[in-house]
Amino acid sequence: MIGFWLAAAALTAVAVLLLLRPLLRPAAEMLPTAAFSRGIYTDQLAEIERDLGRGLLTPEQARAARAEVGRRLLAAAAEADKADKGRHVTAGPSRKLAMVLTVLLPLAALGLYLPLGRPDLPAVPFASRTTGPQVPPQVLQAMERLERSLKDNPDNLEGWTLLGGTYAALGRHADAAEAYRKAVGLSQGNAELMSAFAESLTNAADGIVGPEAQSSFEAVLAADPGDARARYYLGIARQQAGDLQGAIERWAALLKDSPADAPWVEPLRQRIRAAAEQIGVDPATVTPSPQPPSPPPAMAEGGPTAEQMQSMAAMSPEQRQGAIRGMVDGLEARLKDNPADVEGWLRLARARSVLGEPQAALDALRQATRAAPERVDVWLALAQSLAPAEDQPSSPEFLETMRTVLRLDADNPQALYYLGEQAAAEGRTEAARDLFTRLLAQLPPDAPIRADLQKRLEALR
Amino acid sequence: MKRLLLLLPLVLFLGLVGYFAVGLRHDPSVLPSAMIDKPAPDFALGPVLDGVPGLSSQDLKGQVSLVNVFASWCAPCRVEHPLLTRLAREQGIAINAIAYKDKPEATRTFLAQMGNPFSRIGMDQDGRVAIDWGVYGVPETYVIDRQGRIRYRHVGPLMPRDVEEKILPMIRELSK
Repeated sequence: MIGFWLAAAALTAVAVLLLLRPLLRPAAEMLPTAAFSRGIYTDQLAEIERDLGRGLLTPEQARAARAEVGRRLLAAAAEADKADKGRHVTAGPSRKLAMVLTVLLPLAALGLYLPLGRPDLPAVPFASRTTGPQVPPQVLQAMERLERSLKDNPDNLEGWTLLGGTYAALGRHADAAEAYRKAVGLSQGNAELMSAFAESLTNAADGIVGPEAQSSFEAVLAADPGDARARYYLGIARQQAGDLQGAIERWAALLKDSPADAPWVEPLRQRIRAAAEQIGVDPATVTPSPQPPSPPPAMAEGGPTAEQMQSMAAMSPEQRQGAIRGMVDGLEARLKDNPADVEGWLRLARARSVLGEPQAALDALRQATRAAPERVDVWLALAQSLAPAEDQPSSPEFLETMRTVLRLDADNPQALYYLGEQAAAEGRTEAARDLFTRLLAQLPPDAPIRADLQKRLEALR
Repeated sequence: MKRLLLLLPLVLFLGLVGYFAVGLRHDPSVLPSAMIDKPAPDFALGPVLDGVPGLSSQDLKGQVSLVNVFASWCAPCRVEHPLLTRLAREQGIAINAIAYKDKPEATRTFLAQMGNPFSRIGMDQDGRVAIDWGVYGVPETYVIDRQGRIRYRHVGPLMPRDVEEKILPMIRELSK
C-alpha cells in the first residue's frame, strides 16, 4: 500500500514539474517585429535616394515619400513599445500560476482518486481469471458425484438428463450433447430429450445447426409437430444454408401458431424482419400475427391479464379481493358451460383454496375428476384436499379416492400407504401386509419412513 | 520560382485526395488474383476422410466445380458450411476442398460435426498447395471450369447474396 502511495506521489511530482518548466522559464527572445519593419523602411529610404539619383523622382516627391516612410517607422516603433510592455505582463515567468498549480494538481488527483479508486480490490493475475460462469462448488461436487454414479450405473435415464442439463447450464455444450445422447437412447427417442440434445449439438457447433442436429430436430417434429424449439432451429438451419425464403416460411409458420405472449415471439419477429430485409422483401408482408395470448381475459387460462393486474394494483385491498372473487366466479360460470375442461376445474380449485373457500375448492376438484376419471394426478389432487389431519380417521370419500388412485396406478405410494393404514386399522392384516410390502418395494433404499414401515409390517404378523 | 515551391504542398495534397478518392471506390474484399482464367496449379493432395478421395489438378478437369479452402480452426468456415452443404446436396454442385494447414484428426472431427458436402478433399497440411493457389486466408472459394481453369475467386465466407448473384450465375454460364 505504501508503495502505491509513493509511486503515485512520484508520478504527480513529475506531472507538476512538466507543467512548471514552461511557466518558470524566462520568456524566450521573440523575433521583434519592430526590427523587421525597421529593416524594410531603411531599404525603402535607400530606394528613394536611388530613384532620386536616377531622376525617377522629383526632389519634391522624394521628400514626401521620405516623410511617409518616416511616419510609418514611428508608428511601428510605438507598436513595438506597446507589445514589449504587454509581453512582460503575460509571458514572463508566472510564479503565481506555478504556485497555484503545484498545490492544485496533487489535490485534484487525490480528489479524483478517493471516490473512484479501489485500493481494496484484490489483484487479478491472468492465470486466476475464470472465463466461464462462476459455479458454486456444491454444484460441481454434485455433478462429479452424478458422473461417478453414472459410470457405475449407465442406464440411469434421469441421471443422464440431469447431467445434460447441468453441462448445458455450465456452457459445456459438447458434453451436454453427449449426456443427452445417452438419455435419448435410454428413453427410446423421447422428443423433448431429443430436442434438448439437438440444441446442445447446435450450441457446441457455435450455433451452426449441423446435419445431426437437423435430423434430430426433424425427428422431434415427426413425434411432436408443434415443438417450437425444433421449428425455430430448423428455420435457422435454412437461414444458415442461405435459403432465407425457406427460413422465413418456417419462422412465419411458427409465429402464426404461437401465442402472442410466448417468449420467442419477439426474437422470431426480429429474425423474420432481418431475413426479409436481406432478400429485399417488406417484412410486414411475411410477418403473420401470432395467436391471441394464451391467457385470454380473466382467469380462463393462467391468470389475470396485464391490464387487470394494473388496474388491480390501484385498488384498495377489499376492492381487490372483490375483483378477484368476481374473476373466479366468472371462471366457474364458464366451466359450468364447458364442464369437460379439466385444467379449468383444477385452476378453479386452486383459486378457491387460495381465497380460503375449501369446500368450493373440493367441489371443483370433484368436477375435475368427473371430467377426467382416468387422470391419476387429478384424483391425487382431490385426495390431497380430502387427506385426514394427523390422528384423524380417514373419510370414506378419501378412501374411495385412494382406491381409485390405486386402480389407476397400482404402485402409487400414497395410496398404498393410506389404504394399508386403513386395512391395519380395520384389522385386515393380510391386506395391510400386502399393501405395505408393495409400498416398501416402491421406496428408495434410503427413505426415512422405511424403518417405521418395517416395524409395522413385523407387528402385523 | 519561390512562389511555385510554396504551392508544392497544395499540389501534393490534391494528389493524395485524388488517390484516396479512387481507392475508396474499390471494394476492399475484391482481391486481385493473378490466377484468374489460368489453369489451376499442378498439385496432388492425399485424402483425409475415409471414403472421400484426395484432390489433384487432374480431378478438376471435366466438370464445372467449386474448390473450397477450409480449416477446422477457422470460424467463418463454420458459418459458410451449411451454405456449401446446400449447394452440394440441393443444387447438385460438385464441391472439392482443400483442408488448409490443419491436423487430419481436427479436420475429421470438423466434418463429423458439420457434415461433409465435399466430393473430394485434399489434405494440405503445410499449406504449400494453397500458396500456389494464391490463398490469402481461409475460407476461399474458387469456381473452376470444365478445362480446369480458375474462373472466379471468392475470399472470405460465402454469403447467400454472393452465391445468388455471383457463384450460381457463373456456374450456370460455365455449364452451358
